[in-house]
Amino acid sequence: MRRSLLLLLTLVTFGSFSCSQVDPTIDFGRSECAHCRMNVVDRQFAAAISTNKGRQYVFDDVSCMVRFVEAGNVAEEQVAAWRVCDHSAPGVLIDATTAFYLHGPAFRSPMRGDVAAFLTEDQCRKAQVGSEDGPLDWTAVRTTLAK
Amino acid sequence: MTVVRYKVLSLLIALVVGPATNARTWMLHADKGSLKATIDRAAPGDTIVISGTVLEGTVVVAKPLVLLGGHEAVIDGGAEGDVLDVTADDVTVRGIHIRNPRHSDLDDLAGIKVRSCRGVVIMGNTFHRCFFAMHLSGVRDAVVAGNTVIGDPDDLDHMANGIHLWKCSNATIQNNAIRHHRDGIYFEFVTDSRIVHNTAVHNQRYGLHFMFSHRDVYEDNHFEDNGAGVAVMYSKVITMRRNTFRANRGASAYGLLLKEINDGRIEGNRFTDNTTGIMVDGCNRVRVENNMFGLNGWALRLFANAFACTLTGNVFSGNTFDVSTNGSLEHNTLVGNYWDRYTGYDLDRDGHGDVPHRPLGFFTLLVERMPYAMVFSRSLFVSLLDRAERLIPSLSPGSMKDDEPLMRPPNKIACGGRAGWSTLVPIGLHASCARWHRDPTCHG
Repeated sequence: MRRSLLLLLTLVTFGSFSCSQVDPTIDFGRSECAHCRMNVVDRQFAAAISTNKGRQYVFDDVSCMVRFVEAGNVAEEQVAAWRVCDHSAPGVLIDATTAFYLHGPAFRSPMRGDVAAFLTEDQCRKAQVGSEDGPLDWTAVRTTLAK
Repeated sequence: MTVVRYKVLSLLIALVVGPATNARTWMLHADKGSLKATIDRAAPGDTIVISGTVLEGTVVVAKPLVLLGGHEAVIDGGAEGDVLDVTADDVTVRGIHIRNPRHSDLDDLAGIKVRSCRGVVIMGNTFHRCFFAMHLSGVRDAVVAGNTVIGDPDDLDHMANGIHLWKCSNATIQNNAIRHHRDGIYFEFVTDSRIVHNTAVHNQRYGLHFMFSHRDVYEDNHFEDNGAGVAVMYSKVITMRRNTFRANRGASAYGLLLKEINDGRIEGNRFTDNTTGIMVDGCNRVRVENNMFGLNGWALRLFANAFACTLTGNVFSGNTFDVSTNGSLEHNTLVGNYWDRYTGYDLDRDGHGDVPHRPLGFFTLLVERMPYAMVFSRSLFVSLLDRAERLIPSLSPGSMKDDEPLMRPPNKIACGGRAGWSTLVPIGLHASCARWHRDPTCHG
């Protein structure tokens, strides 16, 4: 009984390790942006990718993530997961490829990418108060930021 | 004729004395009156002396007034929005305790917000647990001096910057003390400004942070135990003199982080006890002169994209690594520095060593490529390899050498300045320190 419990515990521990490999995490205040080297502290604009090999890169701004990959630091097909912080739920990472985005100077992100991500289109439209572009999808955001 | 002269004279008197005599002073006791009502009644140029605790939500100052702190003057924002919202020219806020603006991730709410005006003076105030303490945007000729700014150490994740300037010019930031904020002082699109004699400690991200700001000077500041001391990013012509960068430690912590900088000057600063003293990524024509690097992990990490940078007259002592790079540093100048690791000789006694010094050891290069090799630091094998590389250089980049290494640290660095070397380094921690202490010419 005790042995099987131990086995289960081991399995669960290793299981959780393997999960965390796909889903990147950000240690706010300690992680460094892989592109601009700033400390990542802003919970509304941070982003992260993980690669097929399980390596994680953390960014303080969506624009840093886009430019980092554009610059060829990581091959596009190597990226296993694209994550951005949900602007309406600071600190929560969501799938960047299905998120909805607003772009405008009202969003003062650390590296002036000025792009905010939202989980749902509804939240996105609610946050749209002024002259922001959007809702944009992932492809549109990448084209905007890669300029 | 005399009448005309009399008229001119009276006009002159009216011009010179008039405004001064007309300006009134309003004594406001917060229990008995309202600050908002007093501001409404006051004329431009008047002074309001506040005593007691004002609790009236956001107070807008839209005419040139002087707000002075009297007995126990507090302005409490009641977590409604900004505490003071200044929109007029020539407003002075002095000697007041300001607290409790609302915290918001969407709006930049501040203890004192100053918008699109000139000549504001914020002096001798204290700010406690403000989201932003001071937030200035589109302001010319601002003076921010002698303020004490304390954020919230228990909730650092939700603090914004202490002194935040956006699109300002000709500002003076002087003698302030800032701690427990995100960035102590933050400059974005700020030009021709001075930051002197400030102290920034325990801030989460940077003590001082420049973004896209040009022709600014910061001197005689003290940065200790911040996420990183100072970050200068995407800026031109920044002068950094006589600052102290201390105990900025951590995997991504730097005393000074330079990213995409042109024409900067770094003179007479002290970098002690940092994980990395200066991290240089993408810099052109930066002069690093007469600085002291002591007891750092890496004194200086230069990325190979540095161009036309000059390092001269610096002192490197007691660092684990003096200089490190990820490639070759072909187009940079490294001459006339003092290296405590230099083992050469000076036969002609001109003060410069006769054989060049190569600061980039074998192990430094190895660690740059394989960070995990760090576990072998200070092992016998590594010292042997380092020694071998020094005798027969095969790996280190050809240009990466100091042709005129100093035999002794320059006196002006070892002994000059406000804080002497002896106050910065525990005695006897490193052989060279001890040597300096014995040096009769040094009275640090």
